[in-house]
This record gives sequence, C-alpha cells and structure tokens, in this order.
Amino acid sequence: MTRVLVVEDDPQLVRALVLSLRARRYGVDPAPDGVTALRLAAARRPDVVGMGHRFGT
Amino acid sequence: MARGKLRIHLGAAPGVGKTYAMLSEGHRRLERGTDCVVAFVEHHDRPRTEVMLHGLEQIPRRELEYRGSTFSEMDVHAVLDRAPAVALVDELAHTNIPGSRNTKRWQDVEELLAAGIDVVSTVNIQHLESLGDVVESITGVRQRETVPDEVVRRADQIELVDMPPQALRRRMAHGNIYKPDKVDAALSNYFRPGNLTALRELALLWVADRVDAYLTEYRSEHRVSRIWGSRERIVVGLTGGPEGRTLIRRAARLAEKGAGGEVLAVHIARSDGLTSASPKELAVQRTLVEDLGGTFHHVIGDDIPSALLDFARGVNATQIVLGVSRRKGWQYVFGPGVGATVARESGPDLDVHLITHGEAGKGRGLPAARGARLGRSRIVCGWLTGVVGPVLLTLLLTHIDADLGLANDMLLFLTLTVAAALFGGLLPALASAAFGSLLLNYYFTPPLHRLTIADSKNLVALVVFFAVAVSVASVVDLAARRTHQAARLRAESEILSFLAGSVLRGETSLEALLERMRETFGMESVALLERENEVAPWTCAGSAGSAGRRPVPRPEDADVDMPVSDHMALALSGRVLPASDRRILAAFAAQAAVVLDRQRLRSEADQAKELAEGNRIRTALLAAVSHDLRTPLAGIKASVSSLRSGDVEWSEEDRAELLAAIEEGADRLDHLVGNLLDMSRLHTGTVTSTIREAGLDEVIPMALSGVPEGSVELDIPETLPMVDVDKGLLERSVANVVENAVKYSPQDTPVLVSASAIADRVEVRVVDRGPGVPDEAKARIFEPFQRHGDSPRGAGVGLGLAVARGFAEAMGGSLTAEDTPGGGLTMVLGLRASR
Repeated sequence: MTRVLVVEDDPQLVRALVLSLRARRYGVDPAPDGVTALRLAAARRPDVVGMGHRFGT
Repeated sequence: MARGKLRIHLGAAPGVGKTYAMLSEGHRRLERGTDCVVAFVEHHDRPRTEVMLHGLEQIPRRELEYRGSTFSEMDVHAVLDRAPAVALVDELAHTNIPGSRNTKRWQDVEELLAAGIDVVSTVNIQHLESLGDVVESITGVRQRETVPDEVVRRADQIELVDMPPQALRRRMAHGNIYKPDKVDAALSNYFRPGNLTALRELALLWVADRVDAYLTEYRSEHRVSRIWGSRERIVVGLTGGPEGRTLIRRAARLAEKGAGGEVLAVHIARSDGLTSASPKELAVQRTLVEDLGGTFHHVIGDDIPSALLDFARGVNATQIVLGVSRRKGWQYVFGPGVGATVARESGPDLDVHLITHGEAGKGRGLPAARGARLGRSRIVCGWLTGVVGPVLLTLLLTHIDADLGLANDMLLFLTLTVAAALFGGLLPALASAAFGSLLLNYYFTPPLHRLTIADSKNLVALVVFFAVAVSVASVVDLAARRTHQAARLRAESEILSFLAGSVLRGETSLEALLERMRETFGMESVALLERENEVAPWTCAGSAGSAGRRPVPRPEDADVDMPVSDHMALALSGRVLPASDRRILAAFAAQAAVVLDRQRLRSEADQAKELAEGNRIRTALLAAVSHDLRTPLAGIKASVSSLRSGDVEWSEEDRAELLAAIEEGADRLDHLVGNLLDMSRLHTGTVTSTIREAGLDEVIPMALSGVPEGSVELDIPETLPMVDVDKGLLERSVANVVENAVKYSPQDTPVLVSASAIADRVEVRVVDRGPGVPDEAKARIFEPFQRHGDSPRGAGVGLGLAVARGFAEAMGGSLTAEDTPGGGLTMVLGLRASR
C-alpha cells in the first residue's frame, strides 16, 4: 500500500484529503505541524509527502 | 496605669504590605523578648502573609451570628484578660458586626490602649474620614469604613508602607493580592496606575503634613527663625494690575512641580489707601487663586518690599514670584524697584522669580532710535536749565551780594551749560553758553550793566568760557547719544540671537514666536497672514495678542504691515513703529515664515508616515487575506472534488463528513468576509449605531453562539444596570472578543465572562488563562492583521479584535487589555450605563 504523509494545519482540509485518499486505498498519516511530520516521516517511511506552504514550526 | 502606645502602619492601597510589615514588627518585638500577641489579623489567603503568622501567639476570635451568617471579630475581652505588652490589630477602620462590644474597631483599640497595652495596627489612606471626598473623586468609590483622622493623628508613631504603583500592579498581575475571579470592574478600576499614583501621593502628603506639624512645633519650641522648607510654598506678589493673572498661573505651575506645593497670593496695600490697584481686578485674581487651590491675602504696609518679605517669612515661603516692573526707565531715578529690592533682601532661604508678562514696560518696545531728538520732557528740561537757569543764577548772585570773583561766577555758569547738555543735548547747551556769556558780560564784568568790557583779560576769559562751554556740551551730547545707540544695539543683538538660536533649534512654535514679537515691540496683537495669490483673501496662519485683542484680518487694517513674501505678510496692531524698529521686525518676519514652513513640513512628514503605515497594513491585509481565504477554499474544493469523483463509492458517514467540512469552510469564509466588510465600514466611518437601552444578560448569551458549549462560564449579576448600546454592534464585539479568548485559552479551562458596574459605567470582563500578552504588545493586538505569537488552531486573519474595538468605540464604549491575575489576558469592554 502506498503511504502518504499529509502535512497541513487546517483541520477541514486535512479531513477532506484523508477521506478521499483513504477511499482510494492509500495509507494516510496526517500531521498538523512540522515536528509531528518529521517524526511520522521517520517512523512510517511514506512514499509521498503532501505539504501546505507557510508553516511556522 | 500609663496609656499604651499606638503605632500605625499607613498604606496607600490594599496589597502594599501593611499587614506583612506589622507582622514582621511583631516578630522583631518577640525576638527582643517583648510579650507580643496577634489580637486580629486578616491574611486574605495571601500565602506570604499567612507564613508570617507562624510563631506568633494568636488570641482566638469571637464568633458572631448576624443575619444567618457567622462572622469573626476581635475578642476584646480575651485580649484584655491575656494582657500582653503589645497587641497586633489589623484594619483599624473596620466596622464591627452589630452586637459587638463597640461599633468600630478603633474603639476596641482605644480600650486596649487605655488598659496600658501597646497596639500596632494598620490602616489604608482611603479610610481616613477627612479624605473621603478626595478618595471618592479619585477612585469613584465611596468608602464606608472610615476612621476619624484624630485617632490616627494621635498615634505615637506612623509608619508609611510605600510601594510604587508599577510594583503594586505587578503584584496584582501575579495574583498575589486577589484571585482572578475576585477582580471586577470596581477593583480593576481601583488599581489603575493613575489611581494608585494619586492615592500614593495622598498618603505621602498626609504623612508629610504630619512631619510639617512636628517641624512647626519643633521650630516654635526651639525658637528657630530660619525657614525650613519641607515643601514648596510660593508667595505671589500682586499689584492689582492685569499681569497678576499671569503671575498666579505661573506660580501654580511652579507649585505643581514639587509634590504638595502651595500658592499664597498677597496684595500689599498702602496704609494711606493711595494705590493704583483695581478692586475689580483683585477680585478676579482672588477667584483665580482660589480656583487653583491657593489662598489670597491682603497686607497693609508702606514699604512694599519689606512687607512682602515679612509676609513670605511669616508663612515659611520658599519662593517669591513677582512681575517685572511696569515702570518706565526714568522712574528708576526714585529707587531700584520692588523686584530688585526683594531679590536683594530675600536672603538665602527664598528664591525670587521675576516673571515677564504682557504688561511689562508696555508701549516702550525697543529703546527708541534718537537722532538729535530726545524725549520731549528732556528737551524741555534742557531748555529750562539752559535759559531759565542762567537767569535764576544771575538773580541769586546779584542778590546775595557776595563777591565770588569772576572765575567762580564763570564756573557756575559753565556747570549750568553742562547740565543743559546732559538734559537737552547740544542746542540748549549752545543757547546756555551764549546766554550765559551775555549775562556774565552784562552783570559781572566791569563796566557793569553794559555790554562793553573794560578789561581785555575779562574779554579773553569770556571767550574761553564760551569755547569751553561749547566743547563740553558737544562731548557730553555725543557721549549720551553713543550710550543710547549702544543700548539699542545690545537690545537688537539680543533679540536677533534669540531668534537665530530658537528657530535653528526648531523649538519655537509659531505662536510663541509671534507672542515674543508682540512683547518685544509692545504691540497689542500680531498676526501672520497669507494668501494663495494676489486676489485671494488673506488667511491667518498664526497670531498672538493680549487678552481680548483679536488679530488684524488684513494687512491694510494693521498699524504696521510688514511684507514677508509676495503672499505672506505680518500685521501688527497697537501703535505705529518707528522706521528703525522695522529692521528687527523684518528679521522676525523672516523667521516667522521659516517657522511656519517648518511646522508645515513636519505635519506633511507625519502624514506621509501615516500613509506609509496604511500601505504597510494594506500589504499585510493582502498577504493575510489571500492565505486565510485560500485555506477554507482548498478544504471546500477538496471535499467537493472527492464527492463528485465517480470512481469511489462513498459511505453515508464519509459523505456526511465531507459535506460538514464544506459547510464549515463556507462558514469560515462568510465570517472572514463579514469581518473584512466591518473593517472597511469602520475605516470609512460608515458604521452607524442605534443606541438603545439593553440588558447585558440578554445580549451576551447571544454572542456566545459561535464558540463550543462549555468553553465559556458566564457571571452576569441580575442587579446590573441596563446599558446604552447598539445591540448588534455589542453582540459582534463580544463575540469576537470571546472567540479570541477561547482560541488562546487552554482546552480544559473555560473563559470567564463577568460583568460589573462602577459609577456610570458597566464593564464586561472576558478573562482567559492563556499565555497572556506582554504589556508592550497590548496596544498592537487591536491593530488589524496582528496576531500575537504563533497562531494556534483555527487562527484567522487578525481582524477580530480590531473590529471589536471599533464597534465598542462606535457606541461610546472602550475595549482594553489587562493581565489576568496569575497569568492570561483579560479583555475589558467598558459600556455606558443607562440613566
């Protein structure tokens, strides 16, 4: 299964992305901030990273 | 039995540490082996105070039932039975519960003192009976618990427990004085820096007054006659002329500089009643002095300087304020003037201020340029000396019949000629020389009563007399003229250097410069006029005038018209200036134009800065709005695309969730656009408010619909007065503030929304326990597009607080930020209570 790491702080957008990616049988890991994203990237070894711009941390 | 001693710790406000100071003293006395007990101490749950109670013996309190509640009071019986050497009794102004032994605690304390027990107590300055009105005017709160001044005044020792307002507010912010839920409108109003400063000053002055009283006592006991200036006491000497008002205001300003300055105005009248004072003017000045908080005194005395100094020493004055003399130059022949005499005689204890005023040397202006012409009086004087003098001298010399000899006769005539030159210049001196030589010839050289001269020696003497008289007269005249020119040039150069200096340093405002011009030339009014072009009407760019004098509207109407440039002119009224003064006036005029230019440039620079700031805000808006619009749009887009794609079979649950995400995104967009519209309405000034009476308990719950349930705790008493507000604006304002507070508050701590009334205002306090905002950033959070620190979850464009404040102000309210005691931010929405 292809794993996608979604880095985004807006909860509504994350929800929509997670739902539609899961419906297409991707494994999705949402991360609301940079620190979580780095931790998940190390632990889950995603195949694709989708990231919004303008991040604080 | 000897009466006990009373020692009072006096504080300016709650929380300065009176009780703590009293308890420390208790510990000190105990260590020294004194039998010291706590008769009554209230620690108000302040931990540091509570710790101080350890190790001190506490007399159990007396429990009393009143209207179904239990109260505890000091048990006076128990303290008297225990009979310690020293008793600590907190809050001297406390009112006991009905049914107690005495109505007031200070009466309890009196009993202890009467029983020979020393008492250490505490009291706050606002509880002193005589200060009730003052304190109410400062804080807006009427103190119900008071203690008679006499009780505190009689204390053997008073110690001031002092703390700067900033430090006190810090203690307040740290929650060291009150818990956050205790802080309401009244309390927070009480702890404003202005209030605290005023109360502190009151306390300091009250104590200073006590010190003053001790000082007076000491001085009279020890016959000290020198002045001990413990604070500024300023005596203003008034003549009854209109300049007195200026002097009084000036003295009041001097008095304000030091704490507790006092102004005493004094008018000295001659015992013969011969005075130029106008009773009407004096009455006006009396009112003015009294309005400014000073006192007015009449003193009878023929020697004005010494009467003034006696009065000043009598009242322990530290400064004397006098106007510079209104006398004209020749009047100084009669003496040096009151100001100079007072200054010379005042001695080291008194400072003398000579104040210039609009009436100073009025009408004299610069020393007049005198070519050959002297003043009329001097010319008359010169001719009298030169013509009548020799006649009188001749009569005198022929009458007394004493033969002085021709040489002495000639010397006497020569003296008259020199005097005539001094008074009236060259011409009377020449006349005097000629006339004198004729008289000498006719009456004193043989043959007498003939214009012939027998002895050729006498002829030589007469010719020499005439020559000497003429040369002396011309030298004297020249010297007098040079002296005068020098004085005038000195005055001119002083004025020019003032002008050059003050204008270059840019410290003079146009009005001040014009006023200086008016004073220098002794004019009634001065105006700087300008116009767009030759046909446009003149407008006034700045003016100065003595009271009641309107500036001249057109140069044509002025007594003196000094063109500055094609479209600018100075118009002066009051008198016609001699041509020689116009040179200096031209310099003034040029400087006035420079000052005006400088003022305009400065205001343009300020405007440009404002515009640049506006641009910065607009740029920030664009960046922030594009980000904040895009995020919910992206969510909506993603959800809609997912729903529309045919390749996935959505479960009912997923479908509902995607639809919910779309709705939420749309709501956020709506909210954001609403705030943007409000902001632009506020900026263009098109927000109109319909002020009606409304109840907060009705409006505030409506404002809470946008935040999750349970995130806000409401505390709005039913007894709250109605407020004058626009319901719609208030709802939006409160909603934005609450939304912001919820956003920053920790998840499990609800935001407290409370309301309370103080004087004619009602305050809504929105208290969060979030990270708070440092003082320097408190003003900034109300600017549009500012977010403090990293934005947490769901942060939007920083418009909410800007809109909330704009709306609050649109209906005559206010919105400010304070620290929550113990950490966090408290937003205070001030509203007008209905009448």
